[in-house]
Amino acid sequence: MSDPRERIEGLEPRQLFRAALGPDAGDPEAAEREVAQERRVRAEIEERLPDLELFELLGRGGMGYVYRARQKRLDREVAIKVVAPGVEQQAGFADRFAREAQALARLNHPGIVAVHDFGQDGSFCWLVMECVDGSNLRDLIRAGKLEPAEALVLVPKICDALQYAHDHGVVHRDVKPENILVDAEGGVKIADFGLAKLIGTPAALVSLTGSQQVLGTFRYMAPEQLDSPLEVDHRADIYSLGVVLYEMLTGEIPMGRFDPPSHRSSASPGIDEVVLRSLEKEPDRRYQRASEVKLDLESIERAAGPRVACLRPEPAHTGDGGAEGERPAQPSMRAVGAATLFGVGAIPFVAVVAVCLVAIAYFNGDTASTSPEFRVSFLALAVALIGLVSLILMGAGSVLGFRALGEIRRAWPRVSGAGSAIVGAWAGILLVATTGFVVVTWSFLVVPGEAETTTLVVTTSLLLTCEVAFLLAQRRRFLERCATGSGHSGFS
Amino acid sequence: MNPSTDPPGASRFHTTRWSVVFAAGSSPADSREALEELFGTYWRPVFSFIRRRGNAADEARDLTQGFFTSFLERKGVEGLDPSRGRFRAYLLAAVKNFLSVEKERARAIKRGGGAQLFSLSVADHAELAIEPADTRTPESDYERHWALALLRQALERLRSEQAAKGRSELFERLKPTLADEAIDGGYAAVAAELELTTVAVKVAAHRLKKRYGELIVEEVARTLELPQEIDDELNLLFEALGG
Repeated sequence: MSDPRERIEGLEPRQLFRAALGPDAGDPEAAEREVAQERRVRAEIEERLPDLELFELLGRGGMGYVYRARQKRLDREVAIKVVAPGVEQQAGFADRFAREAQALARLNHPGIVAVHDFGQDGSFCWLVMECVDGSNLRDLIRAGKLEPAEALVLVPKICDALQYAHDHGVVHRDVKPENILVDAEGGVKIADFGLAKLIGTPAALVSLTGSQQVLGTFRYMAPEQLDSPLEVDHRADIYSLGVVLYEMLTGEIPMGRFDPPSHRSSASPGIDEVVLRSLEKEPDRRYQRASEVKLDLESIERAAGPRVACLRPEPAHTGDGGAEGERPAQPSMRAVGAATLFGVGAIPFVAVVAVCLVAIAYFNGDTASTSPEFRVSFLALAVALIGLVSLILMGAGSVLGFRALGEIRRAWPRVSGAGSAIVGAWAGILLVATTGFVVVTWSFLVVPGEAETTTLVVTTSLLLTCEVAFLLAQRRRFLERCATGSGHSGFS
Repeated sequence: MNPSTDPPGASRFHTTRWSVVFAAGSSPADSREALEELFGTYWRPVFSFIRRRGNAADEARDLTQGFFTSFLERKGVEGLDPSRGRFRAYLLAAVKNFLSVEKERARAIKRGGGAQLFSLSVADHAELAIEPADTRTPESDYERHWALALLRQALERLRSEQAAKGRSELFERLKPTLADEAIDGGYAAVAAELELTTVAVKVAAHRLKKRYGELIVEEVARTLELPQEIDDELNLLFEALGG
């Protein structure tokens, strides 16, 4: 704090502020005593736990000190939590400490800070825990680094860890941003189950926390926890989680009459319901399981998918991938079927048409174009049959294609295959129309000369080019409609 | 502290910020007084926030002034609920509301027909010109300046209390001890200069610091709805100062 503009009448603000903090506030030597005490704690750890190499002090709370350390034998990094001298003299402290350790030791989950070891030797109590390399959620919120999408990634992980603990009969009772650690990979670890109440343990143990202490942090407490801190069940954690989620999204604590998070952030309105249901005053009306919160959040994330897809540029390739969200989209089976039917129908159809064209040219030279030999010939019959079958195939492809388009549009963007569906739906119709044009024109030409043939080929090529352009335009328009349509209601 | 030795007008410090704001407006004189008090205490945090949101110094100054005026007229605060708890959060929400409304209007609105309601001192102008120089967020800046404003306010109250007891000189000499800083020549020099015993000076310093701590807590409490929130708010503001 060397910036002169931030001094108050030449005095360092943080030092001034200390006057208001703690019972020793009025004592100028308090800070020195604190440093001396911390040094004593450090010395005691080094003396009693020689296997530990102590590094920096990670935190200091009302309960004690947490250091980063290395276990020399195992060569692993750990965090060691030591209870501040004096605290252990509180009535029932030893039991409470052991309870915290046992509660933690029961839990083995990637989302929960693991306890490796703990011990108690007179006034010296310690807990060796997993060392988490990261920051806590409080720091992240304060730094303003949480987008709704990030919150939606973190909270389900918190839900997993809480659900696991609840399944093991452990209620955290102090869920708050300070206790939620986020590691460098974005993984979540819940720390400090120190206040956890073990469901099923005798009431005498439970009451050790003392009647005057209101445990946990006031702002994150469920209403029932404010009244009777010792009687709460796992649903109190769900309330606290709701407060944390609200704070992640808005930077504020929901108090009194508060706005839904979507009014105060870019969160989707769907989240409002989740937050409000977590924050129900009546535990029975709340989510009953942390896993339910997770499920709802995940379905919101899925529903929010199209918005994300909307913002993405359309994939450059012209295949039938459609727009791809975070997950690879499933191709529509109808679309695949439609395109296949078209392909299967189109090849013999084109062959038949070619035969017809040759036949027309051949018989046009002769005035008896309706030669009976030709009409009854086996070849003619076969050609007609094949033509009919291919027409039916393409017709079915067309129907299936249109249905595939409807399906893709409704399920956008989870289902892809717009390109196939459009080919299935339209290409058959276009092909029949084109060949109709060609055959009719061809049959009107009495003797197709070279010039006429060339003109017809050029015209047909132009027609085909236009049709391909039409198909591409159709696909593009369809995808745009999907993106904008589902951005609003999701269905159209 | 004996209440009877408090300076005149000290009784209003026992009211909360809410009552200052919402009791105002009953008469123009009251409004004016309330506005001046609010502005005097909180212009810096509000200004910092607005400035940090990317407004130029002049523009930020106009917006800050405009905000306090409209705040007192309760414009743009209809949707805000005082039971939300913290005056700090409430004021910030009101600033945000105000800014979003202002954004839709012309960019530089000079309120009060262009006349300045409050003249800013030269020192203030020097402060205004300082550019945001780091990566702090508007919110963290606001919190830090809020903490600074509370410290200043408490220091002013301590000063007037001491002046009312005729101890201005002792206060000014002992002021550095509030921040655990050494005083020139130590307590002995102050004792000799003011014809007191060294022990008396030490006791005075200790009591001064204790009283200052009480005043800070009182100032913080005035901005809160629930007394249970005091510790949290104190911790938060202390951390904000470290940012």
